[in-house]
Amino acid sequence: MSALAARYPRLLGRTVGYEFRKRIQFRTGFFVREVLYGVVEPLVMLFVYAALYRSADAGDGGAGASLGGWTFDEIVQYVAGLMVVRKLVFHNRGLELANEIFEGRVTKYLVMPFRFFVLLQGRFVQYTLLQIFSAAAVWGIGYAAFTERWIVPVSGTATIQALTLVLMGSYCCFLLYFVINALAFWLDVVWSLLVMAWFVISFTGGALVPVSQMPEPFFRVFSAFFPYWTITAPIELLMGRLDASDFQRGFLVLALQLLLLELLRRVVWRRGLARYVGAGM
Amino acid sequence: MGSRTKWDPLGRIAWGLRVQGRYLRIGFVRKSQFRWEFVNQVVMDVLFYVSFVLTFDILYGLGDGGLTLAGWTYEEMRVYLGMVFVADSLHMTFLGQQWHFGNDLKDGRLDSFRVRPGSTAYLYFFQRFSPEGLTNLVLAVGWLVYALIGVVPEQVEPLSLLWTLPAALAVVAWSQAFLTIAYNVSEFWLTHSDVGHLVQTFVSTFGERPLEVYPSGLTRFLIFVLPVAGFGWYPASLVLGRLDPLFAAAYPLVLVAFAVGVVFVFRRGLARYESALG
Repeated sequence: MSALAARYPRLLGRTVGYEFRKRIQFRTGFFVREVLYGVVEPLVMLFVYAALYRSADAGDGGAGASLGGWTFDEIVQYVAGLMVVRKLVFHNRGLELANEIFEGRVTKYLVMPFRFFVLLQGRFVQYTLLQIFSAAAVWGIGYAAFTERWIVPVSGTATIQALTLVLMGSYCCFLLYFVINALAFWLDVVWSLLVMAWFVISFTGGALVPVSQMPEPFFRVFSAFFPYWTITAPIELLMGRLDASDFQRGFLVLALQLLLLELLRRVVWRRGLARYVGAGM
Repeated sequence: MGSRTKWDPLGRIAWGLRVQGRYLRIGFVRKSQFRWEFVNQVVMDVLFYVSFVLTFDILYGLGDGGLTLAGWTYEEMRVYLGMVFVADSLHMTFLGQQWHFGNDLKDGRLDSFRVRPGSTAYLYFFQRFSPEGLTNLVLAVGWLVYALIGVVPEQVEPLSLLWTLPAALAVVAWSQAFLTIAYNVSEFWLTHSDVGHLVQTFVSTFGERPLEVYPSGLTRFLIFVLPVAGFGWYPASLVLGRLDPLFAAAYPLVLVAFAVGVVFVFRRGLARYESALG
Protein backbone atom coordinates (compact mmCIF):
# COMPACT_ATOMS: atom_id res chain seq x y z
CA MET A 1 0.00 0.00 0.00
CA SER A 2 2.80 2.41 0.93
CA ALA A 3 4.67 1.54 -2.29
CA LEU A 4 1.52 2.33 -4.21
CA ALA A 5 1.08 5.59 -2.31
CA ALA A 6 4.66 6.57 -3.13
CA ARG A 7 4.25 5.68 -6.77
CA TYR A 8 1.06 7.75 -7.29
CA PRO A 9 2.62 11.24 -7.04
CA ARG A 10 5.52 10.13 -9.28
CA LEU A 11 3.14 8.77 -11.87
CA LEU A 12 0.93 11.84 -11.63
CA GLY A 13 3.99 14.06 -12.10
CA ARG A 14 5.06 12.20 -15.23
CA THR A 15 1.55 12.33 -16.65
CA VAL A 16 1.38 16.07 -16.07
CA GLY A 17 4.72 16.51 -17.87
CA TYR A 18 3.54 14.38 -20.77
CA GLU A 19 0.27 16.33 -21.00
CA PHE A 20 2.23 19.58 -21.22
CA ARG A 21 4.31 18.17 -24.07
CA LYS A 22 1.19 17.04 -25.93
CA ARG A 23 -0.50 20.44 -25.58
CA ILE A 24 2.41 22.57 -26.76
CA GLN A 25 3.25 20.39 -29.76
CA PHE A 26 1.47 22.72 -32.19
CA ARG A 27 2.39 26.14 -30.87
CA THR A 28 -0.33 28.23 -32.50
CA GLY A 29 -2.90 25.66 -31.48
CA PHE A 30 -1.57 25.77 -27.93
CA PHE A 31 -1.94 29.55 -27.86
CA VAL A 32 -5.43 29.45 -29.32
CA ARG A 33 -6.82 26.51 -27.36
CA GLU A 34 -5.19 27.04 -23.99
CA VAL A 35 -4.21 30.70 -23.68
CA LEU A 36 -7.13 32.49 -25.38
CA TYR A 37 -9.72 30.10 -23.93
CA GLY A 38 -12.63 31.84 -22.19
CA VAL A 39 -11.79 35.43 -23.10
CA VAL A 40 -14.14 36.18 -26.01
CA GLU A 41 -17.61 35.72 -24.53
CA PRO A 42 -17.03 37.96 -21.49
CA LEU A 43 -15.82 40.70 -23.82
CA VAL A 44 -19.03 40.52 -25.86
CA MET A 45 -21.02 40.43 -22.64
CA LEU A 46 -19.38 43.69 -21.61
CA PHE A 47 -20.48 45.46 -24.81
CA VAL A 48 -24.04 44.19 -24.38
CA TYR A 49 -24.14 45.41 -20.79
CA ALA A 50 -22.70 48.80 -21.76
CA ALA A 51 -25.52 49.25 -24.29
CA LEU A 52 -28.11 48.11 -21.76
CA TYR A 53 -26.93 50.49 -19.06
CA ARG A 54 -26.79 53.35 -21.57
CA SER A 55 -30.43 52.70 -22.31
CA ALA A 56 -31.22 52.89 -18.57
CA ASP A 57 -29.33 56.17 -18.58
CA ALA A 58 -30.35 59.00 -16.32
CA GLY A 59 -28.10 61.44 -18.20
CA ASP A 60 -24.84 59.94 -16.96
CA GLY A 61 -24.22 57.33 -19.63
CA GLY A 62 -25.71 54.64 -17.43
CA ALA A 63 -22.94 54.81 -14.83
CA GLY A 64 -25.34 55.61 -11.99
CA ALA A 65 -28.09 53.17 -12.98
CA SER A 66 -28.59 49.97 -11.01
CA LEU A 67 -30.09 46.97 -12.76
CA GLY A 68 -30.97 43.92 -10.68
CA GLY A 69 -28.83 45.22 -7.84
CA TRP A 70 -25.74 45.76 -10.01
CA THR A 71 -24.26 49.08 -11.12
CA PHE A 72 -22.36 49.26 -14.40
CA ASP A 73 -19.02 49.57 -12.59
CA GLU A 74 -19.77 46.37 -10.71
CA ILE A 75 -20.70 44.63 -13.96
CA VAL A 76 -17.37 45.70 -15.48
CA GLN A 77 -15.58 44.17 -12.50
CA TYR A 78 -17.71 41.04 -12.79
CA VAL A 79 -16.82 40.64 -16.46
CA ALA A 80 -13.13 41.14 -15.63
CA GLY A 81 -13.46 38.47 -12.94
CA LEU A 82 -15.26 36.21 -15.39
CA MET A 83 -12.35 36.41 -17.83
CA VAL A 84 -10.03 35.19 -15.08
CA VAL A 85 -12.30 32.62 -13.43
CA ARG A 86 -13.57 31.00 -16.65
CA LYS A 87 -10.05 30.12 -17.64
CA LEU A 88 -9.69 28.03 -14.50
CA VAL A 89 -12.84 25.99 -15.04
CA PHE A 90 -12.06 22.67 -16.72
CA HIS A 91 -13.69 22.66 -20.15
CA ASN A 92 -15.86 20.13 -21.94
CA ARG A 93 -13.31 19.38 -24.66
CA GLY A 94 -10.66 18.46 -22.11
CA LEU A 95 -10.99 14.67 -22.23
CA GLU A 96 -10.84 12.22 -25.13
CA LEU A 97 -12.21 9.27 -23.19
CA ALA A 98 -15.48 8.90 -25.15
CA ASN A 99 -13.61 8.52 -28.43
CA GLU A 100 -11.28 5.98 -26.89
CA ILE A 101 -14.24 3.95 -25.66
CA PHE A 102 -16.02 4.21 -29.01
CA GLU A 103 -12.94 3.11 -30.92
CA GLY A 104 -12.10 0.32 -28.49
CA ARG A 105 -8.82 1.88 -27.38
CA VAL A 106 -9.48 1.72 -23.65
CA THR A 107 -8.11 -1.84 -23.55
CA LYS A 108 -4.51 -0.64 -23.49
CA TYR A 109 -5.13 1.26 -20.26
CA LEU A 110 -6.63 -1.77 -18.55
CA VAL A 111 -3.44 -3.78 -18.79
CA MET A 112 -1.28 -1.01 -17.30
CA PRO A 113 0.02 -1.65 -13.76
CA PHE A 114 -1.75 1.38 -12.27
CA ARG A 115 -5.15 3.04 -12.07
CA PHE A 116 -6.20 4.43 -15.45
CA PHE A 117 -7.85 7.43 -13.76
CA VAL A 118 -4.42 8.81 -12.79
CA LEU A 119 -3.80 9.61 -16.46
CA LEU A 120 -6.93 11.75 -16.59
CA GLN A 121 -6.13 13.40 -13.28
CA GLY A 122 -2.79 14.29 -14.85
CA ARG A 123 -4.67 16.10 -17.59
CA PHE A 124 -6.68 17.99 -14.95
CA VAL A 125 -3.57 19.01 -13.01
CA GLN A 126 -1.74 20.08 -16.19
CA TYR A 127 -4.77 22.12 -17.27
CA THR A 128 -5.11 23.77 -13.86
CA LEU A 129 -1.40 24.66 -13.57
CA LEU A 130 -1.35 26.15 -17.04
CA GLN A 131 -4.58 28.09 -16.54
CA ILE A 132 -3.51 29.49 -13.17
CA PHE A 133 -0.54 31.01 -14.97
CA SER A 134 -2.69 32.12 -17.90
CA ALA A 135 -5.42 33.58 -15.62
CA ALA A 136 -2.78 35.47 -13.62
CA ALA A 137 -1.42 36.90 -16.89
CA VAL A 138 -4.91 37.99 -18.00
CA TRP A 139 -5.51 39.61 -14.63
CA GLY A 140 -2.13 41.38 -14.76
CA ILE A 141 -2.61 42.69 -18.30
CA GLY A 142 -6.15 43.83 -17.50
CA TYR A 143 -5.02 45.55 -14.32
CA ALA A 144 -2.17 47.32 -16.11
CA ALA A 145 -4.46 48.51 -18.89
CA PHE A 146 -7.60 49.39 -16.88
CA THR A 147 -6.37 49.92 -13.34
CA GLU A 148 -9.36 52.03 -12.26
CA ARG A 149 -12.06 49.66 -13.46
CA TRP A 150 -10.45 46.21 -13.23
CA ILE A 151 -11.35 43.76 -10.50
CA VAL A 152 -9.04 43.89 -7.49
CA PRO A 153 -9.60 41.31 -4.72
CA VAL A 154 -10.83 42.90 -1.51
CA SER A 155 -8.36 40.85 0.55
CA GLY A 156 -5.88 37.99 0.43
CA THR A 157 -8.36 35.82 2.33
CA ALA A 158 -11.05 36.49 -0.25
CA THR A 159 -8.62 35.50 -3.01
CA ILE A 160 -7.81 32.20 -1.31
CA GLN A 161 -11.49 31.52 -0.68
CA ALA A 162 -12.41 32.32 -4.28
CA LEU A 163 -9.58 30.18 -5.65
CA THR A 164 -10.63 27.28 -3.42
CA LEU A 165 -14.20 27.43 -4.69
CA VAL A 166 -13.15 27.73 -8.34
CA LEU A 167 -10.76 24.80 -8.15
CA MET A 168 -13.27 22.59 -6.33
CA GLY A 169 -15.92 23.56 -8.90
CA SER A 170 -13.49 22.90 -11.72
CA TYR A 171 -12.89 19.40 -10.33
CA CYS A 172 -16.67 18.90 -10.20
CA CYS A 173 -16.77 19.83 -13.91
CA PHE A 174 -13.93 17.39 -14.58
CA LEU A 175 -15.81 14.58 -12.83
CA LEU A 176 -19.05 15.44 -14.61
CA TYR A 177 -17.32 15.42 -18.01
CA PHE A 178 -15.71 12.09 -17.10
CA VAL A 179 -19.13 10.61 -16.31
CA ILE A 180 -20.58 11.94 -19.58
CA ASN A 181 -17.58 10.60 -21.52
CA ALA A 182 -18.05 7.21 -19.86
CA LEU A 183 -21.67 7.14 -21.06
CA ALA A 184 -20.09 6.29 -24.43
CA PHE A 185 -20.09 2.68 -23.14
CA TRP A 186 -23.85 2.78 -23.70
CA LEU A 187 -24.48 5.63 -26.15
CA ASP A 188 -21.36 5.42 -28.40
CA VAL A 189 -21.31 9.13 -29.26
CA VAL A 190 -21.67 11.74 -26.52
CA TRP A 191 -20.10 14.99 -27.73
CA SER A 192 -23.49 16.72 -27.86
CA LEU A 193 -24.08 15.81 -24.20
CA LEU A 194 -20.77 17.46 -23.35
CA VAL A 195 -21.77 20.63 -25.19
CA MET A 196 -25.14 20.55 -23.44
CA ALA A 197 -23.41 20.21 -20.09
CA TRP A 198 -21.38 23.33 -20.82
CA PHE A 199 -24.50 25.28 -21.87
CA VAL A 200 -26.14 24.36 -18.57
CA ILE A 201 -23.02 25.06 -16.48
CA SER A 202 -22.39 28.41 -18.15
CA PHE A 203 -25.99 29.60 -17.83
CA THR A 204 -26.64 28.35 -14.30
CA GLY A 205 -23.14 29.36 -13.21
CA GLY A 206 -23.41 32.97 -14.37
CA ALA A 207 -21.17 33.05 -17.45
CA LEU A 208 -23.90 34.89 -19.40
CA VAL A 209 -25.59 36.90 -16.64
CA PRO A 210 -24.53 36.97 -12.95
CA VAL A 211 -26.83 34.54 -11.15
CA SER A 212 -27.53 37.13 -8.45
CA GLN A 213 -28.83 39.50 -11.13
CA MET A 214 -31.36 36.91 -12.30
CA PRO A 215 -34.94 36.82 -10.95
CA GLU A 216 -35.24 35.42 -7.41
CA PRO A 217 -36.57 31.92 -8.35
CA PHE A 218 -33.62 31.37 -10.69
CA PHE A 219 -31.19 32.47 -7.99
CA ARG A 220 -32.75 30.21 -5.39
CA VAL A 221 -32.54 27.13 -7.61
CA PHE A 222 -29.14 27.76 -9.20
CA SER A 223 -27.41 28.59 -5.91
CA ALA A 224 -28.03 25.02 -4.78
CA PHE A 225 -25.70 23.62 -7.44
CA PHE A 226 -21.96 23.67 -8.06
CA PRO A 227 -21.85 25.89 -11.22
CA TYR A 228 -23.01 28.95 -9.24
CA TRP A 229 -20.29 28.35 -6.61
CA THR A 230 -17.73 27.87 -9.39
CA ILE A 231 -18.34 31.07 -11.36
CA THR A 232 -20.60 33.77 -9.88
CA ALA A 233 -19.85 33.23 -6.19
CA PRO A 234 -16.02 33.35 -6.40
CA ILE A 235 -16.19 36.57 -8.42
CA GLU A 236 -18.54 38.11 -5.87
CA LEU A 237 -16.18 36.99 -3.10
CA LEU A 238 -13.32 38.79 -4.86
CA MET A 239 -15.51 41.89 -5.21
CA GLY A 240 -16.53 41.81 -1.55
CA ARG A 241 -20.23 41.26 -2.34
CA LEU A 242 -20.09 37.89 -0.52
CA ASP A 243 -18.36 37.12 2.77
CA ALA A 244 -16.83 34.28 4.78
CA SER A 245 -20.19 32.75 5.72
CA ASP A 246 -21.07 32.51 2.02
CA PHE A 247 -17.71 30.87 1.41
CA GLN A 248 -18.45 28.27 4.09
CA ARG A 249 -21.81 27.48 2.51
CA GLY A 250 -20.23 27.23 -0.93
CA PHE A 251 -17.48 25.00 0.40
CA LEU A 252 -20.05 22.60 1.85
CA VAL A 253 -22.18 22.56 -1.31
CA LEU A 254 -19.13 21.90 -3.48
CA ALA A 255 -17.65 19.25 -1.15
CA LEU A 256 -20.95 17.37 -1.06
CA GLN A 257 -21.50 17.51 -4.81
CA LEU A 258 -17.88 16.61 -5.48
CA LEU A 259 -18.32 13.47 -3.36
CA LEU A 260 -21.55 12.57 -5.13
CA LEU A 261 -19.93 13.03 -8.54
CA GLU A 262 -16.94 10.91 -7.48
CA LEU A 263 -19.31 8.12 -6.42
CA LEU A 264 -21.21 8.44 -9.67
CA ARG A 265 -17.94 8.35 -11.61
CA ARG A 266 -16.92 5.08 -9.95
CA VAL A 267 -20.31 3.44 -10.52
CA VAL A 268 -20.57 4.52 -14.16
CA TRP A 269 -16.98 3.50 -14.92
CA ARG A 270 -17.36 0.07 -13.27
CA ARG A 271 -20.67 -0.68 -14.98
CA GLY A 272 -19.42 0.64 -18.30
CA LEU A 273 -16.32 -1.53 -18.17
CA ALA A 274 -18.52 -4.55 -17.49
CA ARG A 275 -20.17 -3.90 -20.88
CA TYR A 276 -16.92 -3.23 -22.68
CA VAL A 277 -15.73 -5.93 -25.04
CA GLY A 278 -12.65 -4.18 -26.43
CA ALA A 279 -14.01 -3.86 -29.95
CA GLY A 280 -14.62 -0.39 -31.36
CA MET A 281 -15.78 1.17 -34.59
CA MET B 1 -12.62 17.34 -68.88
CA GLY B 2 -14.19 19.44 -71.61
CA SER B 3 -17.52 19.55 -69.80
CA ARG B 4 -15.79 20.95 -66.69
CA THR B 5 -14.63 24.09 -68.38
CA LYS B 6 -17.84 24.75 -70.33
CA TRP B 7 -19.90 27.65 -68.95
CA ASP B 8 -23.13 25.98 -67.88
CA PRO B 9 -24.43 27.56 -64.65
CA LEU B 10 -27.74 25.70 -64.63
CA GLY B 11 -25.96 22.43 -65.19
CA ARG B 12 -23.58 23.21 -62.31
CA ILE B 13 -26.47 24.05 -59.99
CA ALA B 14 -28.24 20.81 -60.96
CA TRP B 15 -25.01 18.91 -60.30
CA GLY B 16 -24.62 20.64 -56.92
CA LEU B 17 -28.17 19.69 -55.97
CA ARG B 18 -27.59 16.07 -57.02
CA VAL B 19 -24.49 15.98 -54.80
CA GLN B 20 -26.47 17.53 -51.97
CA GLY B 21 -29.20 14.91 -52.40
CA ARG B 22 -26.58 12.21 -52.09
CA TYR B 23 -25.12 13.80 -48.96
CA LEU B 24 -28.65 14.04 -47.53
CA ARG B 25 -29.23 10.33 -48.06
CA ILE B 26 -25.86 9.47 -46.49
CA GLY B 27 -26.67 11.78 -43.57
CA PHE B 28 -29.90 9.92 -42.79
CA VAL B 29 -28.23 6.52 -43.12
CA ARG B 30 -25.35 7.60 -40.88
CA LYS B 31 -27.59 9.03 -38.21
CA SER B 32 -30.01 6.12 -38.13
CA GLN B 33 -27.12 4.20 -36.52
CA PHE B 34 -27.01 6.54 -33.53
CA ARG B 35 -30.59 7.34 -32.60
CA TRP B 36 -29.72 8.64 -29.16
CA GLU B 37 -27.19 10.99 -30.67
CA PHE B 38 -29.92 12.32 -32.96
CA VAL B 39 -32.11 13.18 -29.98
CA ASN B 40 -29.14 14.60 -28.07
CA GLN B 41 -28.15 16.93 -30.85
CA VAL B 42 -31.68 18.24 -31.23
CA VAL B 43 -31.88 18.83 -27.47
CA MET B 44 -28.42 20.42 -27.51
CA ASP B 45 -29.46 23.07 -29.99
CA VAL B 46 -32.75 23.63 -28.21
CA LEU B 47 -30.74 24.30 -25.05
CA PHE B 48 -28.59 26.76 -27.00
CA TYR B 49 -31.74 28.59 -28.15
CA VAL B 50 -33.31 28.50 -24.69
CA SER B 51 -30.17 29.86 -23.02
CA PHE B 52 -30.10 32.75 -25.51
CA VAL B 53 -33.79 33.54 -25.15
CA LEU B 54 -33.63 33.35 -21.35
CA THR B 55 -30.52 35.55 -21.24
CA PHE B 56 -32.18 38.32 -23.22
CA ASP B 57 -35.47 37.84 -21.34
CA ILE B 58 -33.57 38.40 -18.11
CA LEU B 59 -31.60 41.37 -19.47
CA TYR B 60 -34.64 43.18 -20.86
CA GLY B 61 -36.59 42.27 -17.72
CA LEU B 62 -34.12 44.19 -15.57
CA GLY B 63 -35.50 47.51 -16.65
CA ASP B 64 -39.28 47.04 -16.20
CA GLY B 65 -39.94 47.11 -19.93
CA GLY B 66 -38.19 50.35 -20.82
CA LEU B 67 -34.78 49.01 -21.83
CA THR B 68 -33.43 48.71 -25.36
CA LEU B 69 -30.19 47.25 -26.62
CA ALA B 70 -28.57 49.99 -28.71
CA GLY B 71 -32.01 50.82 -30.07
CA TRP B 72 -33.26 47.24 -30.40
CA THR B 73 -36.50 46.68 -28.51
CA TYR B 74 -37.33 43.33 -26.92
CA GLU B 75 -39.66 42.42 -29.82
CA GLU B 76 -37.00 43.31 -32.40
CA MET B 77 -34.40 41.35 -30.46
CA ARG B 78 -36.57 38.24 -30.72
CA VAL B 79 -36.53 38.61 -34.52
CA TYR B 80 -32.76 39.08 -34.38
CA LEU B 81 -32.42 35.88 -32.37
CA GLY B 82 -34.66 34.12 -34.90
CA MET B 83 -32.19 34.98 -37.68
CA VAL B 84 -29.27 33.84 -35.52
CA PHE B 85 -31.01 30.52 -34.79
CA VAL B 86 -31.78 29.96 -38.48
CA ALA B 87 -28.14 30.70 -39.36
CA ASP B 88 -26.92 28.34 -36.65
CA SER B 89 -29.20 25.50 -37.73
CA LEU B 90 -28.24 25.98 -41.40
CA HIS B 91 -24.64 25.63 -40.29
CA MET B 92 -25.46 22.50 -38.30
CA THR B 93 -27.45 21.01 -41.19
CA PHE B 94 -25.01 21.51 -44.03
CA LEU B 95 -21.64 22.67 -42.77
CA GLY B 96 -20.82 20.47 -39.78
CA GLN B 97 -17.74 19.03 -41.50
CA GLN B 98 -15.93 22.30 -40.98
CA TRP B 99 -15.17 21.29 -37.37
CA HIS B 100 -12.88 18.58 -38.79
CA PHE B 101 -11.13 20.69 -41.41
CA GLY B 102 -7.95 21.33 -39.39
CA ASN B 103 -7.55 17.64 -38.53
CA ASP B 104 -8.38 16.45 -42.05
CA LEU B 105 -5.85 18.85 -43.46
CA LYS B 106 -3.20 17.71 -40.98
CA ASP B 107 -3.86 14.06 -41.77
CA GLY B 108 -3.90 14.63 -45.53
CA ARG B 109 -7.52 13.63 -46.02
CA LEU B 110 -8.40 16.19 -48.68
CA ASP B 111 -7.05 14.08 -51.53
CA SER B 112 -10.31 12.38 -52.45
CA PHE B 113 -12.04 15.76 -52.69
CA ARG B 114 -9.40 17.33 -54.90
CA VAL B 115 -9.64 14.70 -57.62
CA ARG B 116 -13.43 14.85 -57.92
CA PRO B 117 -14.99 16.78 -60.81
CA GLY B 118 -16.23 19.80 -58.85
CA SER B 119 -15.41 22.51 -56.36
CA THR B 120 -13.24 21.08 -53.57
CA ALA B 121 -14.65 23.57 -51.06
CA TYR B 122 -18.24 22.69 -51.92
CA LEU B 123 -17.65 18.93 -51.87
CA TYR B 124 -15.69 19.09 -48.63
CA PHE B 125 -17.65 21.56 -46.51
CA PHE B 126 -21.12 20.35 -47.52
CA GLN B 127 -20.42 16.62 -47.23
CA ARG B 128 -21.97 16.13 -43.77
CA PHE B 129 -25.71 16.60 -44.10
CA SER B 130 -27.26 16.49 -40.64
CA PRO B 131 -30.90 15.39 -40.19
CA GLU B 132 -30.86 16.65 -36.60
CA GLY B 133 -29.72 20.04 -37.89
CA LEU B 134 -32.71 20.00 -40.24
CA THR B 135 -35.00 19.29 -37.28
CA ASN B 136 -33.52 22.30 -35.51
CA LEU B 137 -33.94 24.38 -38.65
CA VAL B 138 -37.68 23.71 -38.43
CA LEU B 139 -37.65 24.80 -34.78
CA ALA B 140 -35.57 27.89 -35.58
CA VAL B 141 -37.93 28.91 -38.39
CA GLY B 142 -40.82 28.34 -35.97
CA TRP B 143 -39.23 30.76 -33.50
CA LEU B 144 -38.61 33.30 -36.26
CA VAL B 145 -42.26 33.16 -37.34
CA TYR B 146 -43.35 33.54 -33.71
CA ALA B 147 -41.04 36.54 -33.30
CA LEU B 148 -42.30 38.13 -36.51
CA ILE B 149 -45.89 37.81 -35.34
CA GLY B 150 -44.84 40.06 -32.46
CA VAL B 151 -43.91 42.93 -34.81
CA VAL B 152 -46.60 42.52 -37.50
CA PRO B 153 -48.47 44.70 -38.33
CA GLU B 154 -47.45 47.47 -35.87
CA GLN B 155 -43.88 47.74 -37.11
CA VAL B 156 -43.70 45.58 -40.22
CA GLU B 157 -46.11 45.55 -43.15
CA PRO B 158 -47.18 41.94 -43.77
CA LEU B 159 -46.89 42.47 -47.53
CA SER B 160 -43.31 43.66 -47.32
CA LEU B 161 -42.39 40.35 -45.68
CA LEU B 162 -43.22 38.64 -48.97
CA TRP B 163 -39.94 39.86 -50.41
CA THR B 164 -37.84 40.84 -47.39
CA LEU B 165 -38.13 37.49 -45.62
CA PRO B 166 -36.99 35.28 -48.55
CA ALA B 167 -34.25 37.81 -49.33
CA ALA B 168 -33.14 37.82 -45.69
CA LEU B 169 -33.05 34.03 -45.49
CA ALA B 170 -31.08 33.82 -48.74
CA VAL B 171 -28.54 36.29 -47.32
CA VAL B 172 -28.30 34.23 -44.12
CA ALA B 173 -27.54 31.06 -46.10
CA TRP B 174 -25.04 32.78 -48.40
CA SER B 175 -23.21 34.46 -45.53
CA GLN B 176 -23.07 31.35 -43.41
CA ALA B 177 -21.57 29.28 -46.24
CA PHE B 178 -18.80 31.72 -47.15
CA LEU B 179 -18.04 32.77 -43.59
CA THR B 180 -17.59 29.12 -42.65
CA ILE B 181 -15.03 28.62 -45.43
CA ALA B 182 -13.37 31.92 -44.50
CA TYR B 183 -12.93 30.84 -40.85
CA ASN B 184 -11.03 27.76 -41.96
CA VAL B 185 -8.68 28.97 -44.67
CA SER B 186 -6.08 30.00 -42.09
CA GLU B 187 -5.53 26.29 -41.35
CA PHE B 188 -3.72 25.98 -44.71
CA TRP B 189 -1.00 28.21 -43.30
CA LEU B 190 -1.30 27.41 -39.57
CA THR B 191 -1.90 23.68 -39.62
CA HIS B 192 -3.87 22.16 -36.72
CA SER B 193 -3.84 25.48 -34.95
CA ASP B 194 -7.58 25.75 -34.19
CA VAL B 195 -7.33 29.33 -35.44
CA GLY B 196 -10.39 28.62 -37.60
CA HIS B 197 -12.37 27.62 -34.54
CA LEU B 198 -11.14 30.63 -32.61
CA VAL B 199 -12.06 33.05 -35.39
CA GLN B 200 -15.44 31.38 -35.72
CA THR B 201 -16.14 31.55 -31.99
CA PHE B 202 -14.88 35.10 -31.83
CA VAL B 203 -16.68 36.42 -34.85
CA SER B 204 -19.93 34.52 -34.55
CA THR B 205 -20.20 35.41 -30.86
CA PHE B 206 -19.93 39.06 -31.90
CA GLY B 207 -22.45 38.54 -34.70
CA GLU B 208 -25.02 36.97 -32.40
CA ARG B 209 -25.67 40.38 -30.79
CA PRO B 210 -26.88 43.56 -32.53
CA LEU B 211 -23.79 45.16 -34.06
CA GLU B 212 -24.70 48.63 -32.78
CA VAL B 213 -23.60 47.62 -29.27
CA TYR B 214 -19.94 47.63 -30.35
CA PRO B 215 -17.63 50.61 -30.93
CA SER B 216 -18.21 52.05 -34.40
CA GLY B 217 -14.89 50.82 -35.83
CA LEU B 218 -15.61 47.25 -34.81
CA THR B 219 -19.17 47.52 -36.11
CA ARG B 220 -17.90 48.65 -39.52
CA PHE B 221 -15.37 45.80 -39.51
CA LEU B 222 -18.13 43.27 -38.84
CA ILE B 223 -20.31 44.76 -41.57
CA PHE B 224 -17.80 45.38 -44.34
CA VAL B 225 -14.60 43.38 -43.75
CA LEU B 226 -15.60 40.13 -42.06
CA PRO B 227 -19.32 40.46 -42.75
CA VAL B 228 -20.96 38.49 -39.94
CA ALA B 229 -23.63 41.15 -40.32
CA GLY B 230 -24.92 38.85 -43.06
CA PHE B 231 -26.26 36.18 -40.73
CA GLY B 232 -27.99 38.25 -38.06
CA TRP B 233 -27.84 42.00 -38.19
CA TYR B 234 -28.55 42.64 -41.88
CA PRO B 235 -31.38 40.11 -42.37
CA ALA B 236 -33.10 41.11 -39.11
CA SER B 237 -32.73 44.80 -39.92
CA LEU B 238 -34.05 44.18 -43.43
CA VAL B 239 -37.27 42.48 -42.35
CA LEU B 240 -37.80 45.01 -39.57
CA GLY B 241 -37.38 47.94 -41.96
CA ARG B 242 -34.49 49.42 -39.98
CA LEU B 243 -32.22 49.96 -43.00
CA ASP B 244 -31.82 52.81 -45.41
CA PRO B 245 -33.23 51.45 -48.73
CA LEU B 246 -30.07 52.26 -50.68
CA PHE B 247 -27.87 50.49 -48.15
CA ALA B 248 -30.29 47.54 -48.04
CA ALA B 249 -30.07 47.18 -51.82
CA ALA B 250 -26.30 47.61 -52.06
CA TYR B 251 -25.13 45.52 -49.12
CA PRO B 252 -25.45 42.12 -50.88
CA LEU B 253 -22.66 43.37 -53.18
CA VAL B 254 -20.36 43.43 -50.15
CA LEU B 255 -21.27 39.82 -49.47
CA VAL B 256 -20.61 38.84 -53.08
CA ALA B 257 -17.22 40.58 -53.03
CA PHE B 258 -16.41 38.80 -49.77
CA ALA B 259 -17.36 35.44 -51.29
CA VAL B 260 -15.10 36.06 -54.29
CA GLY B 261 -12.23 36.89 -51.93
CA VAL B 262 -12.85 33.76 -49.86
CA VAL B 263 -12.82 31.53 -52.95
CA PHE B 264 -9.59 33.16 -54.13
CA VAL B 265 -7.83 32.65 -50.77
CA PHE B 266 -9.15 29.09 -50.46
CA ARG B 267 -7.66 28.24 -53.87
CA ARG B 268 -4.34 29.78 -52.87
CA GLY B 269 -4.38 27.69 -49.70
CA LEU B 270 -5.32 24.54 -51.56
CA ALA B 271 -2.33 25.05 -53.85
CA ARG B 272 -0.12 24.72 -50.74
CA TYR B 273 -1.73 21.42 -49.73
CA GLU B 274 0.67 18.50 -50.23
CA SER B 275 -1.43 15.55 -49.02
CA ALA B 276 1.00 14.71 -46.26
CA LEU B 277 0.76 17.47 -43.72
CA GLY B 278 0.36 15.05 -40.80
